[in-house]
Amino acid sequence: METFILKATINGTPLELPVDPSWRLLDVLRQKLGLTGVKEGCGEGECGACTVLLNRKPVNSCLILAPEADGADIVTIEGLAQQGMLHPIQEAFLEAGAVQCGFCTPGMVLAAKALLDNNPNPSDMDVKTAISGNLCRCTGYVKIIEAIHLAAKKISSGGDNI
Amino acid sequence: MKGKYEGRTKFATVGKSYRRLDGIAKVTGKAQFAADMKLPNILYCKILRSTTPHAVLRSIDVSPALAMSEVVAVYTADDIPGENRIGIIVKDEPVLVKDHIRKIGEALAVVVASTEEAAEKALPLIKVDYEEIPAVFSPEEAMAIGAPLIHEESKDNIQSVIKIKRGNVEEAIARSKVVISRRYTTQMIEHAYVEPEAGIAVMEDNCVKIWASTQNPHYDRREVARVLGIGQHQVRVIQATTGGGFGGKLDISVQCFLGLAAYKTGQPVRMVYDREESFMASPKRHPFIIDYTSACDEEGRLLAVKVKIVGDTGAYASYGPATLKRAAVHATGPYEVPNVSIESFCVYTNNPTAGAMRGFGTPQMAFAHESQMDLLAEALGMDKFTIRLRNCFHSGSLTATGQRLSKSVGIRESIVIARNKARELGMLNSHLKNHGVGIGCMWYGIGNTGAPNPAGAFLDFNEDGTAIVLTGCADIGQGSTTALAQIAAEELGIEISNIYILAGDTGISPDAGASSASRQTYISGNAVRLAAQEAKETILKEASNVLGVDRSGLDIKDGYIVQAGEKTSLTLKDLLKRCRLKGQLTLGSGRFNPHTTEMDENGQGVPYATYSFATQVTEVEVDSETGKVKVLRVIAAHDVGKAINPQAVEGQIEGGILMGIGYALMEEVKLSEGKIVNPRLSEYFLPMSLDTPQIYSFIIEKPEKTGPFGAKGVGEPALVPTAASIANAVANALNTRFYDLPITLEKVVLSLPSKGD
Amino acid sequence: MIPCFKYHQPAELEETLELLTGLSGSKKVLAGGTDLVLALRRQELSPNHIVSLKRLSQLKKIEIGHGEVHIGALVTFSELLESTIIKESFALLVEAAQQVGGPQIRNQGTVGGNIITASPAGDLLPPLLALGASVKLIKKGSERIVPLEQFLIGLGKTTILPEEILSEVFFPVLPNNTTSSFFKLGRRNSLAISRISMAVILFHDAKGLINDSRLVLGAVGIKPFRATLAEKSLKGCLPDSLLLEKAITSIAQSVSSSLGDRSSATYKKRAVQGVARQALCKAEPIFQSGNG
Repeated sequence: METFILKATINGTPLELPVDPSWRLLDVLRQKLGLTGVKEGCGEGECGACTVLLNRKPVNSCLILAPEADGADIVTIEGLAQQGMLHPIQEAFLEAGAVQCGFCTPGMVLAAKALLDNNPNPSDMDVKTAISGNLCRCTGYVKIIEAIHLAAKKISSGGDNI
Repeated sequence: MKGKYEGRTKFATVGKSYRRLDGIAKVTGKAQFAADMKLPNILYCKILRSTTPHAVLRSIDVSPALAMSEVVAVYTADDIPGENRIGIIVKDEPVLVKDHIRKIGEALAVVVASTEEAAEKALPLIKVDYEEIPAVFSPEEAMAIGAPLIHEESKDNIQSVIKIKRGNVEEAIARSKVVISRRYTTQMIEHAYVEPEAGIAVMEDNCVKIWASTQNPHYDRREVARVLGIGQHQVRVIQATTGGGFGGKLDISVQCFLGLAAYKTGQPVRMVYDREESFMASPKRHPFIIDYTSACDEEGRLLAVKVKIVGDTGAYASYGPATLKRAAVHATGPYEVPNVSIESFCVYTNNPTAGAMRGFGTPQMAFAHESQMDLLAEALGMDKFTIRLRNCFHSGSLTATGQRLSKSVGIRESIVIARNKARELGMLNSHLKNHGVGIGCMWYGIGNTGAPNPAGAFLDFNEDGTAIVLTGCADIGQGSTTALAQIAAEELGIEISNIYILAGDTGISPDAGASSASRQTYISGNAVRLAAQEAKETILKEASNVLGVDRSGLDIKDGYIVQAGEKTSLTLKDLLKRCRLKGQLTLGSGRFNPHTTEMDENGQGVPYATYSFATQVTEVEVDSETGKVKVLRVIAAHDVGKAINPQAVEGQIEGGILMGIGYALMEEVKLSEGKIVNPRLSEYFLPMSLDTPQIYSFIIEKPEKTGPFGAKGVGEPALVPTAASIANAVANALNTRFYDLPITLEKVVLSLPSKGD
Repeated sequence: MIPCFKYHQPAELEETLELLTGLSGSKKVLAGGTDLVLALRRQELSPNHIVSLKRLSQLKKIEIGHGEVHIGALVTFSELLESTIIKESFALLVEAAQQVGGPQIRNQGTVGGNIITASPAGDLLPPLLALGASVKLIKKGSERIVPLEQFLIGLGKTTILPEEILSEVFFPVLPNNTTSSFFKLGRRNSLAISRISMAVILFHDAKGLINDSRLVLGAVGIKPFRATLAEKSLKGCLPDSLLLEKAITSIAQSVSSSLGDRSSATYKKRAVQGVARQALCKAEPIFQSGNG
């Protein structure tokens, strides 16, 4: 198969990567770039564990052929904490007890980020809808929803980011 | 959030909602799950699986696959150096089928190749010669005389039978005011942890080292060693960060294949299931057929319970015997019943194997016994809380197995608290159309049923006042590592930040048994506490020397020695140094095996040392036209003995409730002649965030004196009563009761009279 | 594992059409990929060529003019939801797009893809059919317009040719005095496949009578269809609870004849009554009032 040169910005770094066009974006991120915070739970867009932000929107990286991400700005969970400081959403997930097994967590955090970037003061329904493509089998979602509200508060109070 | 749990205890560390110790690694994506791990020159394994449910395997020709340049090896049953038999309770399952295929999805051969693609391409090249033989897919048919035998060495397909007899059931039924007999059926479901099974392995210093997603690394080690015919000291299983288990990662998945491939090739190997393979290969929740008769007097007092349970364990026993045994013990529900007759059958079929899943048969039983309680109450025109309060266990009650309960019995409190909250929320006198409220009560024995199930722990109290705990206990997300750190910190009188827990590595940590049966907080918690006590004892003896006072009033608190509760000038660090100088190492080892006895031929005995209790009250709204059931609010009151980490306890309760919603309303592994027809998350429906109800959790603490700081367990109790309470709520809403789970859209609509009729 | 193919990412429409005409071997056009990538992964499809529409920005527009709304094939469900044109006048499309999959799928999946997949349960199909939409199909040197009703011919089947692409879907602007809705019944509240869905458009006159209506049912046959009998029963009437029951009964009848003796029929012909009730009442709350 002919190699495709994928040009994309990944976690803030512009990259040019030769990829096999039959690879999924998920495979490129995990295998080529070692960004294993991107998880594969089902391979068919039903669990959201492989969620990444593509041009600031959450997408399932398991349903995207790598060349389709050409020119995109991609953020994975590895791109969230800055200089060792957790993002307020990550902080809120810890504080609210929103993490159990942790396999859904990266996707959940990114789905939450996409929401809060656009809607700093979401309703309960907004929050539930924003994570409605992300499966969690451990938490019952309750503490994840609490964490996202808590993160909204942290961010609006000026990034209380201890 | 802050302050939510404060002021509840006199403890320093226990009872506080500390953040998870592995939380930062998980929110940053750095936590290494098995599929994330890398080793140089790694080889990839794929399994060829059977496509027929029952057959004689004549031969396997692997040569076309081996001819591929990327294929390093293909292994079949003949290549296994040790015993080709595994199984947690009964060793009835081959790692690779030798001659008898008993289900679809059974492993026939392992392909090892230099790339994953090549391993996958090689699979269809392997030629399998087999002859299909008659199969059986219904446990009732499998029990009949003349049914095809699943295990040729047995006389029939009944894997095991448990009987519990007490009093005289027939006589009691004859003199009862109300007798209700019903058949209940429950469906097969999938654990659906979000992380599919995965592992890697490598040979290191003549030792097979395996990292795997698992709930029981020490069991994995035993099986791998036996299968390879080597000593357990030559196998080291390390639990990788594990993305959920719920019982589904208690059995062997990738471990033996990886062990075999690494051992034989001498190279690092890797294996990751995709979702479909996970569905096909992993054990399921047992479908049950339950024939249940309850009898009570005119005041609603239970006089007798007679139950027959048939559980379809599929092709292999897995945890089936334990599931059916636990189902039998818990069949009465948390109620005093003087006359009991319970028979529980674990039956082989050619269906997928059913094994352990959160609750081990008790969610099935709760559906039945809680429906029965409602039916009795309805027959008597009695309030549904009242009938439960009238019958529920109390301290000193006798159970169906003749066990006298200890003081830690919080079922009454849980009913009262849940009822009062339901009243306060106005749930009980709602006149809204198609709204209903249902109650689910449950009890749950902590640990394995009538069997020894010890855990060990080591602790090293370092000279700088920090401590390292070694435990075999696998944290699969439930938070055991954090809870054990809290227990150690509490006992040692130091900050939790000064504890490091090294868990789930058979090369380093002692066996803690499985992370199952809601047992780790209670059993490993005790082991860790005892290890801490032993290390502490060395220090306190030295403190007693230094201070010239009796040892008995001494303890450690906030880095100081306290005497009769008063801080002394002696610091912990000083003492640790003194001990060092004297050559006294401050080490501890702890072991704990809960007191149980084997059940006799009438099922009498002490199957568990202690029990957790709970009541959940659920409110639903049912659309009688479309059949859609919406779970609106759930009140969950759980007696956990002592919540070591209340936030984590709540997390278990909330997660259990969502799993219960799936069990009651939407989840079902559908089979056609032993084949799973919906082995994908697009066809197997799990509850998502928009299906989450409002949840009100109440933690009840009736301390268990044999538990660490009074703790029992909560992992499974969280889920056990949910489906039962939903089924009762739907019945309450529609005046129509459902005896078969799940309560799907179709069942609801078709159960109601059609307008046109 | 996804089978090998040759990947093309043409920059211009002309080039795309050239490729589709010129390439030999099997080919598939790739839009959002939420269905196609799945089919590749399951090895249900193994085309020789994949032609990506990714760079064709002209297919990403939503435009209004000359009494028509034109939606480019590459518009995603999320973009549909963000469009002022759609939000202002087409409640049924908004409600349908909101219920597609989850946020990730809505960010990836496209209007064109939803049409081409031609699933009986495709969420946008009932609203588009209710709107009287047509699709524009283009190939090298020619284009054609096909009413959506004729374009969809069965389970996963349309009349598109291998060398064609669907460039847009368009429909007339709704007159004033119309109300619309969409209702979807699923087993759960997101990532659900529609068990039954229904799109409603009611055209009212100044007196509040229903002049005309479009009632389209999804997932109760090999493709979504209009419940014409029920539409007739509403014509010229004032909405009230009696009329509602009448419409519901005739909807159940059309579902009954569409499903025949399929195993789901018993359930669906009853459940569709609840779906119809909720869809109609959402479009016109007066349906809930007593007659008179």
